[in-house]
Amino acid sequence: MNYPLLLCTALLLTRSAALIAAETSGQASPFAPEIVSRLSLDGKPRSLAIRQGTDVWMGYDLERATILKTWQAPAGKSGLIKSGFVTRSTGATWFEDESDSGWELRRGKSTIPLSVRYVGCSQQKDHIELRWELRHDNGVLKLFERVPLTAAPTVDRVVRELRVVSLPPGETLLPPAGARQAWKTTTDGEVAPSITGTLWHRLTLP
Amino acid sequence: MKHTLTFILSLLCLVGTILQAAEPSRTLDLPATKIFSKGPNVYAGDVLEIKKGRGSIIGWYVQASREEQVTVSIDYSCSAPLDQSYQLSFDGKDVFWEVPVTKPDEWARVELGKFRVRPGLPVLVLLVPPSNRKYDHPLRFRKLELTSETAGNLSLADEPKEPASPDAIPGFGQKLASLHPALAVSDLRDESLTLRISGMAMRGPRELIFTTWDGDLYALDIGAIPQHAPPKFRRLAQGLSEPMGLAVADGRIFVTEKNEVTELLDEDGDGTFETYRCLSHDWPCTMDYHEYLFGAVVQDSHLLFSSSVGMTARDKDNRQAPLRGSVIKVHVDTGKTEIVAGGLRTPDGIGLGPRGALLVTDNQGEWLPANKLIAVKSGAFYQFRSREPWHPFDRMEATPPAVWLPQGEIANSPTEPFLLPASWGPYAGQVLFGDATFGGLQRSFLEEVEGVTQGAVFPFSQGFRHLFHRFALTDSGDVFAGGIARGSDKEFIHRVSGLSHIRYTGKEVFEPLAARLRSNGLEIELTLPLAERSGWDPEGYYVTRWTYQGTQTYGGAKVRHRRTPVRSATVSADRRRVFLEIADLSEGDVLHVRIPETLPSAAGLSLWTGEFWYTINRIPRNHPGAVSPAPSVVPTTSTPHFRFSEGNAGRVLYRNYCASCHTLDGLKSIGPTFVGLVGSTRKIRDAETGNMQEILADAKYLKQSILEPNAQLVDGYAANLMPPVGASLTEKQVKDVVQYVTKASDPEFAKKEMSHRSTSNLAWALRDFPEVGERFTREPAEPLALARGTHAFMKAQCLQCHAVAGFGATLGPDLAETVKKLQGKSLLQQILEPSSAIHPKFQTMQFVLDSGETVTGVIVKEDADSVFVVHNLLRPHDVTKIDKSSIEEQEVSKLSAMPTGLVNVLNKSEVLDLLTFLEAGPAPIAQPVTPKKPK
Repeated sequence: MNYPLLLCTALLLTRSAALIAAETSGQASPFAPEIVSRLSLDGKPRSLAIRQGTDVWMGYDLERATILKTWQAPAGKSGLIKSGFVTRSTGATWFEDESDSGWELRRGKSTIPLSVRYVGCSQQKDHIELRWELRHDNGVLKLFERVPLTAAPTVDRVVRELRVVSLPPGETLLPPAGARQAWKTTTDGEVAPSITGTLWHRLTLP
Repeated sequence: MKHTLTFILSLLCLVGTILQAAEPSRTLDLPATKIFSKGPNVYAGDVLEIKKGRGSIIGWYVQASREEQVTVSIDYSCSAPLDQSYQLSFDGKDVFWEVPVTKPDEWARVELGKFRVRPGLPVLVLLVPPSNRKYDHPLRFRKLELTSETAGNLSLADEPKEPASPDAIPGFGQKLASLHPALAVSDLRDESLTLRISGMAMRGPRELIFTTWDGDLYALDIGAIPQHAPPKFRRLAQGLSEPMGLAVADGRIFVTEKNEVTELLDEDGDGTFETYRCLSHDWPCTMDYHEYLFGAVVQDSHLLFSSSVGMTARDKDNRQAPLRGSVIKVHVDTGKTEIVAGGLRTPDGIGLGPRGALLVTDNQGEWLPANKLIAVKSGAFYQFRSREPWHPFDRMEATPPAVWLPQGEIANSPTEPFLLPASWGPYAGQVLFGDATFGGLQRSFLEEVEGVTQGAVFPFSQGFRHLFHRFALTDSGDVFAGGIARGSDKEFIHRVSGLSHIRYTGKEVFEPLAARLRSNGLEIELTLPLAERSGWDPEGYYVTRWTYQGTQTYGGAKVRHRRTPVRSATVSADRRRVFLEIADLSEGDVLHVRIPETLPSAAGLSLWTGEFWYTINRIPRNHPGAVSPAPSVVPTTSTPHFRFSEGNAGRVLYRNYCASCHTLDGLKSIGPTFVGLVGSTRKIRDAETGNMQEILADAKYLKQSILEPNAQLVDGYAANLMPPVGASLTEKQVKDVVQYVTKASDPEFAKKEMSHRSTSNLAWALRDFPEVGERFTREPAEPLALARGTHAFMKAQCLQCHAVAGFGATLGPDLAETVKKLQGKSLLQQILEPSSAIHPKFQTMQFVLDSGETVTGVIVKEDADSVFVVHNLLRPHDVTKIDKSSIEEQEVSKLSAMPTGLVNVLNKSEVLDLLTFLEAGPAPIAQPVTPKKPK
């Protein structure tokens, strides 16, 4: 018996089978609906929902560039109920922003409201990244939000990360008021009440 | 004396009164009692109590003898505020009237507007209540009053008499029933996959990519499609949000999703699309299920697509999110977004047409009295209105479509238009589009007349398994067509979602190819030359015309629908064109042209279709069609070109409007079957109270269901499932449908009607029958097959010319004799290709006359001075008399007198049954077969 040849053949067959399965099931493709839903959530037409770990969900309002809701799915069930082409959250709500507040730029003592433009999303190996442009009178800020797909440490319950690019020195970015208070924001382990610089900011829900 | 004076005074008073009464007035009343249809509203004496917007047609025709200004006023009472304005339409010009509230029972008169009235055809005046159904529209209406400048200028006119419908068969007044003879189609559906295809494009010469409504992006290698197994689809991406359009440009992939347009990116080059770049979502949206972005075309670095309006709001207050119903343009790099045009409703198809024109199709409904093929103009408004806030392009005068697509006749829900490439032979440069309800492919020829796009639409093909929404063309001109069946995958009219591969075979098909407007009529181009001396008879063309009036209610009837005489018909020298001289062409009219199915081509081919609709937006100035006198020798005919049978109108209306959802086979489809309907008891839900009750389904119930589908909903059927088709039908048409449905309730009648539908219309060739050898029938032939063969023999009209064992006509050879020499393949060849061998006794003669004309046919009679020739044996009464003195040359023709394509009315098994019947010899016809059905 030529065992190495058999082994190689078996390996090749296994790999081919895996590739065929990947082609037809699409499990390997990004944006699997079990992890990311790009359908409307809870009556918000431009929204998106992401699952963190096995049962924590985060819903985003893409037009306001902000988190809308965080909830835990019922035990053993999905946190999203799909009906046709709309979804509804189900489970225990941990956070919900029912305001219509928006992003602001703090420049000295004044705050400037920012207009929002959603520019897309991307699924990387271990996280989903959302991208927006925040526009003000004389420029555009690029806002990135990352949602790790693995479960957050128990103490944090849920984790998201924010970063802004092209923010001039001395200016700070204020998240929408509806989400500002509830989330604990840190940079390099230090509490940061607003977004500054270009570093990633970690937001958790104590 | 006193008495005499009293008498004289009385006489003078009487004369004065008579004179006063006879004096022409400057005002004309349009009373509520003389409107077209009161709908669900009720009369209180001469007052119409308008409660609901839908279902009533408050309209009149007015005749004017001179052009001048007219002021329109209304007598009304309205005790509560309305949520929307009334629409007054005067000869196509609209005003909106915000109804002032009056005190209860107080009558008011308000001026609604000033208009120009014109002489000539009657002028349509419509008062249209708001269309939303949830609100009452409590207006008490007595009359409109028209005040002209000249006394006696205006009078109430009768509605123009609707023209009768000639008898219809598929392609001639009735929807086609089968595949175009020059198309080959294969179904690429994988039964294990539900592919609700919503967007399609080619990425390179071999890779077809398509999106599904469910959010996947698939690829198919079209060079490796297995012959006898499902195609291998490879999923490239998932998680898209209701994509309805897909485009590839310079290797980049763009998708129009529900609420944004997206570019799919593989930034890390690992072969999967991990980044969904939002190009733009710069327009408002709501949660309405019907707010789609349709189609995707890339032109000059811009992605172009259309947005539909919401549908749920029309039940409430008719509001739409701003900018809905637009053609939108987004720069593929910068995302800069512009609105190109507005006023669209359900524009489920966008594509490029001739000369780079951007084409959009739109669906009949509110503000759209019929479906449309639009050649998009920047800044144009295409008439769909909701209410304030108005679309920024909204204006009172809308831009007409390039081609109107009459509802139920040639379209119901038209989809993506696409341009046919050079490989499509005579059809190259024309536009095909699908239909999400009507099915099949429709063909349009577009022309530019003084800078305005207009043209004709032709029936092209049915006979596909799928309804097509989207198309992709390969480099070789093959078409991949995909579609969505509505509802669940297989629910809608027995079609399934999926993918088809359509190939143009190049086979010659005889049909109208194009229509071009001239100053004095319409020129029809045919795919093949007409038979000599054919086509000259103006009576051989049945032309009707009408215009459309958009209103805020659903759909709309044809306005001033009437027959228009064809003054003359001139056939061009190459016999490929016929110019129909038509008087009084009018901009805004749709011409429906019908050609009789008996018009032959020079090669003896029958017409595949014989009708089209031409939209007149602009009449060319100084571009007349040439009118020539008919040649001296033209066939005289004793048979009419068109027949008019009682009940035909109802059958055609049923097939065009009802058959998609109501069957005649007793099975439930989208709606209940019509078999057994009339006379049955229906359990219905009251629209107002929701209470259930039982009613008898009678003619009154049918009429109400057509006019107000939601008024008496049968238990188990959702509201709005049935569109308000009554809005598109005239009173007479509603009556015709009701009569037909009443008859079809009888199972025997329905069965007979079903049997009339099995026409095939394939152009059979010898290669289609590889199973036929030297002899086809095994001995002995099955009695049932012989019976079917007898039926096929009759159906293909063989008995009109051929006898079998002495029975039947003798214009052609006795077939009992023929089959002694010809059987199997040779016999079939003789049937399919009559000119392949001609029996010496039945050869046709060709005469060249001193005028230069050529006459071909069978000599049926001859005397000392003349010969009498029949050109078409199926029309033996059409005899041409030729003076012997005018004959220059006479020779035997190589063409058989037997027309080709006679068996094209049969399906394949019927052709084989016919062969079985003929091979059996004289027995079956001499001793009629009485088959016993096997248990």
